[in-house]
Amino acid sequence: MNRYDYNSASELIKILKKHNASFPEFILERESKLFGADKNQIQAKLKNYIKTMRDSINAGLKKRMESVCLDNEAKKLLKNKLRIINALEYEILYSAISVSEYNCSMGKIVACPTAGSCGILPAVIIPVSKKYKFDDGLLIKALLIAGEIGRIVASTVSISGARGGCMAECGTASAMTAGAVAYLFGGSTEQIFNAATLSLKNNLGLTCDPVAGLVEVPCVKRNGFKALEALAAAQMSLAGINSAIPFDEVVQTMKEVADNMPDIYKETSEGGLAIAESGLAYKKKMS
Amino acid sequence: MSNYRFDSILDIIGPEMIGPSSSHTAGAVRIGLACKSILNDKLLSVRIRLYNSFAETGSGHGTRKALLAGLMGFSKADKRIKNAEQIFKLKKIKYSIEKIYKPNNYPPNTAVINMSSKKWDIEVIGESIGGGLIRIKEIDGFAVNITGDNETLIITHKDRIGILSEILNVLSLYKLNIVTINSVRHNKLDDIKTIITFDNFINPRMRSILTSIQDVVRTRIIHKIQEKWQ
Repeated sequence: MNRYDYNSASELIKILKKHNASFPEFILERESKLFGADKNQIQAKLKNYIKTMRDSINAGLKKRMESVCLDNEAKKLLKNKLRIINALEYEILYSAISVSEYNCSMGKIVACPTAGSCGILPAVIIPVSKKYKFDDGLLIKALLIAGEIGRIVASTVSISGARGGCMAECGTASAMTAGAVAYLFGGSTEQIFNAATLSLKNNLGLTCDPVAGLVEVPCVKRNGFKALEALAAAQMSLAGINSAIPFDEVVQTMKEVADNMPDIYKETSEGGLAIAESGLAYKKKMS
Repeated sequence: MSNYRFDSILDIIGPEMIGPSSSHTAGAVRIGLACKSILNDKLLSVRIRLYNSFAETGSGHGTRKALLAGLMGFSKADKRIKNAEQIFKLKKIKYSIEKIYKPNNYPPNTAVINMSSKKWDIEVIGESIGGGLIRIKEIDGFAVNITGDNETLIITHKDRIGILSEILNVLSLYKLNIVTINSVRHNKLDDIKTIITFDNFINPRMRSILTSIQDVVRTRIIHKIQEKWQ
């Protein structure tokens, strides 16, 4: 059997053990075989993504955004002096909102896994790597891991809000980010997937009900929340807190929830916040 | 529910794209690019019908601009996407975009695109499946499955014994490595469409070479949209 032919965390963990392989190295090898490309070409591409991620955080903080529903929220955080959470968490929060706002104004971002959820992964790994002096080489490995977590979810359920609600987009992004952070701080493969599980489990049933059909409300602020959620999940996992339900079962549950979720919560803007009185008022204002 | 296989982490991390939505913006650009490649001629006019979530939330996500941008050959990271409608008008290409709300069996993000050039009128049905990935489902009423990740040949030919082996002979002569092959026809009177996908680049010359085979009516080349790792 082809050793890359698996679609669950438990199979992957077994394969890694059997071949005594490192998680990111194994994924890098598969990608290079898949595209018939050199490993360094794949790494260069990911390195380029890291640069675009950094740029999008900064660009979002500079750009003035024109929107009916949003009012340059990242800048408000940046200017504010009161810090309830610590400096790193604060930077993560405004970075996530910044990337997300930049995305809304048709700026260039890296989808991870989608554009609506593009603020979460960069907002965590970029500030964390700055503070803890992780180099780009390590960040590339973290991206390989985040990508693999997302790939397993996408192959079993979906990463599209139109198919699985926001749980498929921000939920997957949060799980990917939690896994990446667990890796950056030396977590084992089990701890990486456990961190992803804790995040994903916290997102089951999350609706995609964007006001006026825009990736703005509740998406932009949700990116901020989810970035901090991912950080918390990694922290829990590395402290030895295990999810009672393992990753593959949570992914299966996610599929069941997605299958049973009414269409009005799948990016159609026919339910939820989109049809709240104020949601409809915003829609009217825009048309 | 997930009928799609995601093979690569680059389907998840990336693409680099202009926001705000991977399925409504980046996916829509790719549908446009695939259409451009299918038409392979100077576009004179286009009618676009948006269904389901494309209709519901498309305008706020720049789906209109993105489809037009793709039809002009812009990539999903091209800053000109923002001004695609103006550029389209400058090029004097006629276009109409309608949102269709009546019940249908199409997947969530579907566009039905009718393109006209001097020589052709073609109808394409495309679906954006999330994360910027797409699927062309139908060309002129024929079911296809084009993701833009492979090179594709669509050969329209008469129903004649041995014609397929003549086509395959030519393909092997030019060292084209086949990934999938599928022949479809609606009824006995219709021509057959044989759809073949490849890993390697198809030289545009192949069009005339294949069309010179007896009973081949038409050959279309649909190029791969882009290299994921470039």
